[in-house]
This record gives sequence, structure tokens and C-alpha cells, in this order.
Amino acid sequence: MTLNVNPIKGILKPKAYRTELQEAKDYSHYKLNILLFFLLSIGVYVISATLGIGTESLSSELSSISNHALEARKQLFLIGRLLQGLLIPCVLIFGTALYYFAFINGDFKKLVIVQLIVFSIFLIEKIIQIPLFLLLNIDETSNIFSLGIIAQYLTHSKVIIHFLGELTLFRIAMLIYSYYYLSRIVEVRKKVLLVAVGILFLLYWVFVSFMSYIKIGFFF
Amino acid sequence: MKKWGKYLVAMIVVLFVGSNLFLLLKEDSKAARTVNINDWTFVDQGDVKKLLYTTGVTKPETETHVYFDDQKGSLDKILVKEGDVVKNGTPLFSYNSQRLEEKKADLEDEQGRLQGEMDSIDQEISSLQQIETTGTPDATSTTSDDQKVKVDVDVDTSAIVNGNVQQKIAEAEAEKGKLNAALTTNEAKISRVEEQLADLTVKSAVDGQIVKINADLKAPIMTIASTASVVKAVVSAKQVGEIAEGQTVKLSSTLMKKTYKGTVSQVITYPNKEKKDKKADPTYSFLVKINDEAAKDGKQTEENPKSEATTDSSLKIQNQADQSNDGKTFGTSDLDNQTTNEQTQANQMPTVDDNKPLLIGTNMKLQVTVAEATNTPVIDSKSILKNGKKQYVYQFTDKGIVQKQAVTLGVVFKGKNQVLKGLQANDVIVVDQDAISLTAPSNFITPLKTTSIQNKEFKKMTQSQQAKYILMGLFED
Repeated sequence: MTLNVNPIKGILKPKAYRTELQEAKDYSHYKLNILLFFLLSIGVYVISATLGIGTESLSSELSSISNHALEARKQLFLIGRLLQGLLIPCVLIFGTALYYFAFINGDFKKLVIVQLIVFSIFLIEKIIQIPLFLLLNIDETSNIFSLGIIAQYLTHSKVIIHFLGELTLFRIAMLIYSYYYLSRIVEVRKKVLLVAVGILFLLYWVFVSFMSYIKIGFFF
Repeated sequence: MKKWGKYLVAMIVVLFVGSNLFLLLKEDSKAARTVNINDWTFVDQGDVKKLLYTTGVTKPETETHVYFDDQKGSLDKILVKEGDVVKNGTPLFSYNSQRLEEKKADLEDEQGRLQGEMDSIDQEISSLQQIETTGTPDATSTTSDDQKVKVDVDVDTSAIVNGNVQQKIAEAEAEKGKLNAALTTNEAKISRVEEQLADLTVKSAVDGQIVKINADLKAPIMTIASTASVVKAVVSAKQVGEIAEGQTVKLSSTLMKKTYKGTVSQVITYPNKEKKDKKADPTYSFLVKINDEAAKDGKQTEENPKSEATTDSSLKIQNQADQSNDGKTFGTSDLDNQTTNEQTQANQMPTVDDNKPLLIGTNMKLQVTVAEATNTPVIDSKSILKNGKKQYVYQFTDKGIVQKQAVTLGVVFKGKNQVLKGLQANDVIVVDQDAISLTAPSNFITPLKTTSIQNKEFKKMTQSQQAKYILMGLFED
């Protein structure tokens, strides 16, 4: 059976797609989808950086440097964001698939196809964030899909706020979809799978929250 | 997943997002905001001039009226005509001298008579003195023409005779004194009449031009307009308070194509005249003394009124100015035509034009500097947020925060505001306060503005700096 790789269908019709994926021996549009998602990722990150999202750290220099110097810094920032747009799908698609492949077995291609679904959820979140952040004048910590706002009402601790700010509905959905698909793709006990997925997401969460909390300028 | 399960998840999501939105958008929200700012600007150091535009008409600085005094006699002849340029001392008109001449003749007759009497008394005295010294019993009876002076010389005994003679001499001396006094008085009268005769020609006390002669002897018989001219301009009641003596004025005449500099010399705070329309605000005028010709500069056009509001008001003033022109005593319109004619001639010979004096009745455009602030922080009105009586701008701090900053404004004109307090030059503020809404000091982000690669700026940075910004983009979320 040939599976037509379509991550959007994977999000919208998970039951049918999971069955198809489980029985599939061959895959069409596999490489195309990977390429497409890489390009889409880079595009989203570049657009978001061009619009200034994430440039808070640069703002503090605005009053002391010329407009041209600021533009130059933003352009360097944009290069960094472009690399991030390249790095994130690498990690989320291949890195994660490799992690599952290493620890809980399964067919690597199938794992990649699952990760394409998870990554598309991630990308949808990123795309939604662009107008949302600009229109509501918010950043990651006050993301309305995250626990960040509630955290700010409960505590003043920046660390906690950043941690809860990174815990969004989309990330939870990513976790649920990962578990839902993997439960049929890999043949391990459900508890083991849950622990494996849980540990990975916890690592991601900690890393992303840490990155959101620290300022690179601190190291220079 | 069963259907109700889907609905449950959807409900939870909507509820979660909804409550987050509420917590975010409610007043005094604790949620941090990151404001997206597109346009910001450095505060300029500059000048703000508050200008007032109006129109005016040149008129003589002073008008001297010459009056006819019928006590001095009737009019003999007028020595000037309308339009003549006169100087201080130029004869204007003369009175008829006949009456005074007659008076002078009378007085001179009186003078002659008095002189005659005087002579006879002198004669008498000398003859009496002769009697006294010789003592000869010479019966002499001298009778002067005058009845009052009667000297009878009786020579009986020399002693008595001598006494009588001495008495008579004394009497004659007294009489002589009286006559002398009368003579001096008469002389004075004559000289006064002579003075009056000389004064029959009325001379101009000022330099100027005869603008009006009333040949029918209505007062004033003549009006002399001074050569020095001022510009009388009209302002609305709203604006008159801003005009003060000493303010500099830039004047330009569309006809002469020249600009002049002047100063406000007088503000007339009495309304110009009754308005037919009672609802209309009264207008006031002020006088501008032209100091010198200003050099033509390119900025002239820049300072012309641009905003519609200003143009409208100046148009209104123009109309009012026209109305008041109509009421002028001398023919402004005629002079205007004259000016136009001369201007058309001048256009053919533009080189001659330069030194031509400003004609009376020339319509002038005025630009009054009612307030001026130099070398001061200047911000645009768009940046200013008004909250009650207080004014704020959104200012960027060097910590990457945008916050409300209270400012005190000084001179304000056409969107340019002098900042007295609250900001300094090179502070960074948000260009348009409407573009953002800020509840508390917030982080802010700015979009990339250029598409051209800033190679020059890259070269200025060290490699570690460059790495820093790339890593920021790569790792910061």
C-alpha cells in the first residue's frame, strides 16, 4: 500500500491517516513534503524576524546607535533567525525521529512522517503567532495559547513565567499527536512509549524555556 | 474520539484562550506587553517660530492736518496742490494781508503823532531850562500844541520865577515819561502786526505729500501724509492678543516681488469698526514699521501657509482688510490702479524696480513672528498624547522599554512643538502616538526597515559583535 504523505490530513483525520500509515509499505510525496516544510519553516522564521518579532534585545540599543547600525544588527539577527528556521525542522523532524528510532525502534520513514505531522502543528502555531503578537502587542510570555498570562498573575518569578509561557496548547497537541501515532507505529508497551515521549518533550520544554529566559547578550 | 469528546476539547480550548484574552486585555492587566512600533524618531534640536499670517496696506506713518484760522484773515491763496511733495518749511497757503496792513498803518500814524508830541515837549523843556539859567525877565509865554502842557512863565521876582520854572520843567518831564511809555507800547504793537504779516504764509512743519486740500475752507484745510510709511494690518479678535509691540514681521508685496522686514510698532486694541453682522467677531489692527528690505531667501516659500485652517483664516482677514480699505479717506483703489500700472511698466524694466520706494496703498502680505524659540528640542504634534491638561510622549529608554513621558510644551506652531521639559534632543520617541496603545512601560519591537544590506555597518562591527547578533537570532526565542 502506498501512503500519500499529507501531514495536514494527519492532523485533521488522525484515525484514518494512522491506519493508512500503519499499513503503508510505500510513500509518495515523501521527500517533497520534507523539502516543503523546510522551506516553509525558513519562510515563517524570516518573515517573523523581518516584522521584528523577537527583537526585544535589540531595542535597548536603539537609542544609542544610528538607524543604519540598528538595521545592520537586525539583518544579522535575521540571518540567525534563518538558521533557526533551518535548525528547528532538522531537530523536530530528523532529530526526534532518530531519538525514537534509537530508543523505541520503529521504521525510520514512518517516524519521520509522524514527525512531519507534529512539526506542521508547530509551524501552524508559529504562523498564527505572527499576526497575533503584532496585533495584541504581546510576546511569548503573554501568548494567549500558553499558561504565561496566568503565570504572570500568580507569580513574579521570571523563570516560572517563561516556563509556563512556553507551555502552549499547540505543544500539548504535539505531544498528544506524537503519542497517538507512535502507539501504532512502534511496538512497545504504552508506558514505555509515554515515558520516552514525555522525556523528550520535557527536554524540549526545558531547553526552549531556557532559551526564552536567557539573553545571548549576557555572554558577550 | 467520540463526538462529545471533540466538543469538550473545543470548549476547553475556547475557554482557555478566552480567559487568557480577558486577563491580557483587562485594565491593569499584569501580563507583559511587547509593543510593535513602526515609526520612531530622534528628537530634533531646532527652532520653532509661531507665525501669524495676515494682510495689510501701506499707509503714511502720520497724517498732519493743517487748519485754517479765520481770526488771521481771509484766505489769500493756496500755494500747493494735491500730490505735491513738501518739505519742512515749504509754504502751503497764505492769508489775505489787507486788514493787517491797515492796522499797521493806523499804528504807524499813532506812532508819528506821539513822536511829534514828544518833540514839542523836548523843545519846551529846553526853553524852560534856558529861562532858568539866564534868569532874564523875559516874559515869554510858551504854549504848546497840547492843551495839557501849558507853561506860563511869570517873571515877577527871580526867585519865584525860578521856582515856577523848575516846577514846570518837572511837569514836562513827567509828561515826557508818559509819552515815552505810550511810544514803546505802540512800537511793540507795530512789531506784532509785522510779525503777523510775516506769519500770513503758513508753512509745512513736516516732510510729506499733500494728500488732500479742502478749498472750501472746511477743517482741516490740508492733509499732509508723511513720506515714511507704515503698514496697517488687520487681525481677528482671537489673534490680536498674540500681537505685541516689537515683534518682527516679514512683509511681502505681490506687486513688488520683494520682501521687507519690519517690527510691530503699535497694536490698536480698539475694534476697527462696527460690523453689520453682529455675530461676526470684531477685527483689530496693528501697525508695522518697515525697517529694511530683507534679502530674498528660498525659505520664503517654505514658510507660506500650508494648512487649510490657516489659509481659511487668512482669506477671511483678507476680506476684512479689503472692507476697511474701502473706508479710507483717500482713494486707495486709485492708488492701487496706479501701482498696478507702474508695476506693469516695471516688469518690462525689472532692473529699475529695485530702488523704487514702497507706494502708499500697496497691499502687503504679513508674516508676524508672534513667538519664537531657538535651539530647543522640537517634536511633532502627532507624537503628543493629551490626557486632560497633561501631555505625554512615548519615549524609548536605553533599556529597551517604551514608556509614557510627561512633557511641558512651549511655543507651538503648525505641528511643531517646543519642549520645555521632559525631553532632550536625540531622545527617541514614537512618531505617531495613535499608532500604539500603552498601558504600562513595555518592551518593544521594531520591524526591519531596509532591504539594502548594510555592508558599511557590518564592517564597523567586530566579529564577536556580529556573532552575537546572529546567535541572538538563532537561539533567543
